[in-house]
Amino acid sequence: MIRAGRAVIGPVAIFREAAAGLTAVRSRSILALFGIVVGIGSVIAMISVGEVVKEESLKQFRALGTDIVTARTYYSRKRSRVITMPLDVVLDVATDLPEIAVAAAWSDVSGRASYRGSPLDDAAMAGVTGSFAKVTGVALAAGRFISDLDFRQYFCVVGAGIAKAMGERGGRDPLGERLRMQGRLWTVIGVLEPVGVTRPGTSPNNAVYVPMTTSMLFNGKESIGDLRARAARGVEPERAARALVEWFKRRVPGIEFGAKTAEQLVRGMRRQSRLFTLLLAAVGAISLIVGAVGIMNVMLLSVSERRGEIGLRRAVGARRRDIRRQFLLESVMLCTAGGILGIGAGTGVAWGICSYAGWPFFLSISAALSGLAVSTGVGVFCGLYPAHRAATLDPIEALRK
Amino acid sequence: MIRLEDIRKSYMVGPVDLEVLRGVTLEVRGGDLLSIMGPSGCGKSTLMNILGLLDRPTGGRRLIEGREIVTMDDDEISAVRNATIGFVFQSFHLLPRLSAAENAGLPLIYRGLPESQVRERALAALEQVGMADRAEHRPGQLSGGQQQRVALARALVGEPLVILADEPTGALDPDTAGEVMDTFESLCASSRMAVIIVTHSPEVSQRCGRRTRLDAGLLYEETA
Repeated sequence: MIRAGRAVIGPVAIFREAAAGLTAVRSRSILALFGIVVGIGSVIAMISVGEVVKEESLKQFRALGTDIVTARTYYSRKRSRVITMPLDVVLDVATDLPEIAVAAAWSDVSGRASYRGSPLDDAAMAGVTGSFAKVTGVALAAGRFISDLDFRQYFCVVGAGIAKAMGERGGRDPLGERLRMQGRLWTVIGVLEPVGVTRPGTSPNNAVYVPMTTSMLFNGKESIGDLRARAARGVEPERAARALVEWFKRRVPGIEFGAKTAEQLVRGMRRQSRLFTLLLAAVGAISLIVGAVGIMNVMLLSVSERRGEIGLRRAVGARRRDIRRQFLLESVMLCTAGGILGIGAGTGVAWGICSYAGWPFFLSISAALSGLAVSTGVGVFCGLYPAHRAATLDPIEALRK
Repeated sequence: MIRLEDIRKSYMVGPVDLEVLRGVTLEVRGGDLLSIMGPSGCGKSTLMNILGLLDRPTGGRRLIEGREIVTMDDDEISAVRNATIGFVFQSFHLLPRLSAAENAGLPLIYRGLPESQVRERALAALEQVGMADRAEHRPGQLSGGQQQRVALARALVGEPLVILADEPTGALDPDTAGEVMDTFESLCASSRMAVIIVTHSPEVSQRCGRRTRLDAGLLYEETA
């Protein structure tokens, strides 16, 4: 008859008991939940956006190719000005340097473009040297690309987006059509294939490329600040970058010149995004702590309000650990519910940010899982002390009204 | 079945050692309907808590079916309490968010019985106290007398050796109190279960087969 064995409560019963307890403090639970939702939500949003950005930038560099070397000039303290790359030196890079297969310079030109009297809003004009298409890997859909022989010609090559915009304005074949820029008319000599993945800087889809010699008429002779090159076959990009820097410094005395490989750029971006993620994680952690304090408060209140219930359960044979488990589970259920809501909210925010920024959104499974794990952990943490208080309550005291 | 031998209980009230029970001896047999009367503050509740294994005496022996309780730890005592004792309180102590059937089945949850069996036995216990048709009602939807009968179902669902009732009719009108007493009577008559009722009411005590009085820390039994 007397049975002092270790009874195990069925799992269904445990959850039902806990859920019943939670509904008892419904409105307060919801308020406390808010902190958890915000905390988990912001963490999820941050991690998701961070991963999307990382993926996106990696994709951009993968599209560029691993053999790419980007270089630019810097402000020279000694000369108190930026010494730019002379055009003839740029054109010599590939022929003089065995480490470099191909190199091209570009230089942005400000101002707007219009076609048939209506502005092409997204158009971005840039002067380029002839190898630019080869270096960046853009392909031609029609016509030809800018050549170094197009000396001061008012020619231009338009991206797929611009060609499409021209078509919308009643243009037929863009080839041979004329765009108005800088108060001059420019003849379209080539149209680019659409580019799927956007690259750093202006997307080729919206670009209007013109001969560098022509752009210098507007920007001035000393306007080349950016260079992009590809390392020769079998040459380490880092070695090519070093050779490029040394060669430029020899050719252009006093120039402040730096070159980076794609890998170095990605590494830099990763470092940056890691810092960003850490910062935001700290924000999330703070709101989680605030939320946790709220949950613990609710649980403590719940324990003191339900003393009678605790006493009764003890009287009918609940062991201390049964009571402890009940309250712990309530806390965990509360926080996990908050976590799930937070994952939903955070995913929504991340989706919003991505669609606003034009990045392809994807759900970060690892972020969602860690959000769930963190909220459950917070539940355990917040529940431990209140559950201990409930379990060690003297049943006689608890039953007294 | 249940035996108290020379039970003593004292509390330290400041520097004074206040002795509430000074050697209570009681033998409860199956089928007993036993009342404990006595003035307020005479230690009735203390005696009930000790009988119900909620409190430990400072001296004496408690034997349940010949087994000594003193050597058990809290978990074991909880299990013994679950198996052998049923409680009925003046204020019912039903959980407001559980249905009558769930309230009645509560002790069996802590016995680790499967859900279906808990429900089956809870319904049987409600049947026994005439509450089968209210199984899905919440306590708030029931009258005081009905609530106390649900509490009674909860006390007997685990087929304990003894039901301890602390002023079970204290919150009820005389008619309803009479019905609850009827239920206690028929319970004792039809099973080996014993019922111990702590009460102020001479009417309640009158209906008990054994009547005791707690006075100055000692228990006296009335002989018919």
